[in-house]
Amino acid sequence: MTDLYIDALAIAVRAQPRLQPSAGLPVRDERRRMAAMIARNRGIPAERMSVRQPLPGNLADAEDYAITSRALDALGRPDHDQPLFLVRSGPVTDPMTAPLAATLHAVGWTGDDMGVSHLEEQGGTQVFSLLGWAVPENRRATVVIVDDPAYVDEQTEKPTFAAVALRLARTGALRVVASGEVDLEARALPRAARHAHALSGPGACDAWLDLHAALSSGTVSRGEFVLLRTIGDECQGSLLLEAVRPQELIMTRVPLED
Amino acid sequence: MERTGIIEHIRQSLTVGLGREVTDLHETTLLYEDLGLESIGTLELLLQLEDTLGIEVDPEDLEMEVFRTVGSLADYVTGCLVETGAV
Amino acid sequence: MGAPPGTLCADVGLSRVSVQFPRGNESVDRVLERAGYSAFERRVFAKFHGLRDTPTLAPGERMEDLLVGAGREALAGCGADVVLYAHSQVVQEFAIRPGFARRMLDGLGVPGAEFYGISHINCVSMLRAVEVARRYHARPGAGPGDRVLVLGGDQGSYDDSARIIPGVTVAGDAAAAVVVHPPRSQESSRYRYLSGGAVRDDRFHRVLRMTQEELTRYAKACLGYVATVLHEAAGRAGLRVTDLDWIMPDLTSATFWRDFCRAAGVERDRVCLDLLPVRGHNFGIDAMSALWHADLTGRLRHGDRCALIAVGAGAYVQVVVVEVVGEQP
Repeated sequence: MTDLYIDALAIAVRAQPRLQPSAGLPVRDERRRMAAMIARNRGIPAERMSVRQPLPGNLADAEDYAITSRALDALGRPDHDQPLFLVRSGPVTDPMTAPLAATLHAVGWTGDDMGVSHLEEQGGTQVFSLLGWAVPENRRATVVIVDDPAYVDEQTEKPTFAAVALRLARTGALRVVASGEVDLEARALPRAARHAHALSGPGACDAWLDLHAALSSGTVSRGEFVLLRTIGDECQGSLLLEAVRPQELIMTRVPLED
Repeated sequence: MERTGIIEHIRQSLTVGLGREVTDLHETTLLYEDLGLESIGTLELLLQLEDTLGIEVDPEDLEMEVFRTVGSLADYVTGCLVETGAV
Repeated sequence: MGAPPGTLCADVGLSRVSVQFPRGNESVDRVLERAGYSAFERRVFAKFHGLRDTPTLAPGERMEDLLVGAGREALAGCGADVVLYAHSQVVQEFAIRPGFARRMLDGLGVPGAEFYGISHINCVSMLRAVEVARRYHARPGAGPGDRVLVLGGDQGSYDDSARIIPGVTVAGDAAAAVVVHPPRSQESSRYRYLSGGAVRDDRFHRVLRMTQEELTRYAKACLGYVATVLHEAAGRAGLRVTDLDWIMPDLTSATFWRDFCRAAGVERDRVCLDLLPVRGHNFGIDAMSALWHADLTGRLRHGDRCALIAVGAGAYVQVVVVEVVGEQP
């Protein structure tokens, strides 16, 4: 893997996700139809699906770019143009707009952009296999990983309703050592990685939120390793990080609220 | 058909297309800037004129210049009418 | 995004394009009538936009099968290291069932490949995926046997609201695929990448919620951007726009290309719009399907330079310039 480092981490988390049972929506409401379609494809009763209501009077949230632009604002503007990768899977609240372009417009982004989809929860870990070669050599990049579904099966899903924004560089606080499916090839890893702090969760952002907490509390020391794991129903992913200079990591956590 | 007749047909078609009474139309009236006509509206306007004047609009012959003013549109319609022998 | 257009890995090769259309078809007029469009509006689509039919999955047909079919044909019995699935729709009914990526990889016969959706950039996604593939072939440790499968396609027919862009076009169901080879590949390519270009204007991010005035500005802006990006991409290949033999277009509407050709001084005969009335717009695969059709019908000659052009809501414009090499199908 090409050397990639993380030198800034910003998290935006919904203060209150505002979930409403889809069965409570008017029969002709497009979101109720969508929830039923999702339920049908998952093989579960439609009554289990809830819909996340946008923040009242918040057009950015209604058009699916409030949480991403909040995370990017918290991360701060880069010094130079760089590509932005939005890692987001699943349906959005409003399919009639372009949430990535809207995000870029809101934050005044001038670099390239692209969305990465169909990774589901593995967007929090395995996407780094793509980033390892998709980020041009000698360039920095920004990644926003989103776990903020518009439709939720409240019986089985506990999303973080968060967006994690990362600034990637060629040197920095956390080194991206390896990523892939759950069993990273042991012989390719440093010995010390065997005693890595292990952080895991079912969604793309769970382990990142835990990482933020661990780094903030000083739990992770210089030279130690952290293994982030995303544990889905179908597959699992891993991302191994080395805390090269953890004290230099710029971290922010902001709420998304009214 | 006289020029004034052609412009009257254009006025009536604009009234239908824009959904409001269009009055005080001149040769120099700008279709986009003065009347607020938009791109899809220009195409519907041409279909109205096809139906009311019996002309056949060929999309391949349409230049953007046709939609600059009422006068330029009237010139185009006149050309179509010549082809049908109505002028 | 991906390798800077025209620089790194400039001479990747592309296989022949594979395209899968469904057995079914629906008239554009019928789709619009069902959605409540007036007779006048429907006549505009037919007479001016040149749209007649739109491919529609027949009963029992599945979008996943179209994608797998196109992908397997492009792979031609060989593997892939990476599959980039380029799509426009964010709501994809056929892909909501859990395990979509795994099912695709298994269906394609490449269970060990990496799978990434290239998304949120609407109908430029497939041409953008070619640039991402170039990036893969430019990575340290890249080898001559590496293969990237670029797959594209969406299902418009799952809901009329998903397939109608008011006043502009109607989108259908179809899939396309192409394999991108590295420069020193042992495989013979059908096309050689020469250059590319892209632009984004995110003022138009409200897409289907734009006002009529915004839509008019958007249409006008796209004409300008296509001309600019085409000029830049041709220039990176050492060409003028007049040196290009063919333009493989976004198949949204004939109206756009009439306006473009007049404004840019490009000859209409060089824009391959054959598929427009019978297949229409199919999200991000248009330019690739136009290339496929031109090749299949014997229009392309060795050495021809073709500009593939895509326009995506948001707004995005992407151009890839290729040269025809290798043997005719």
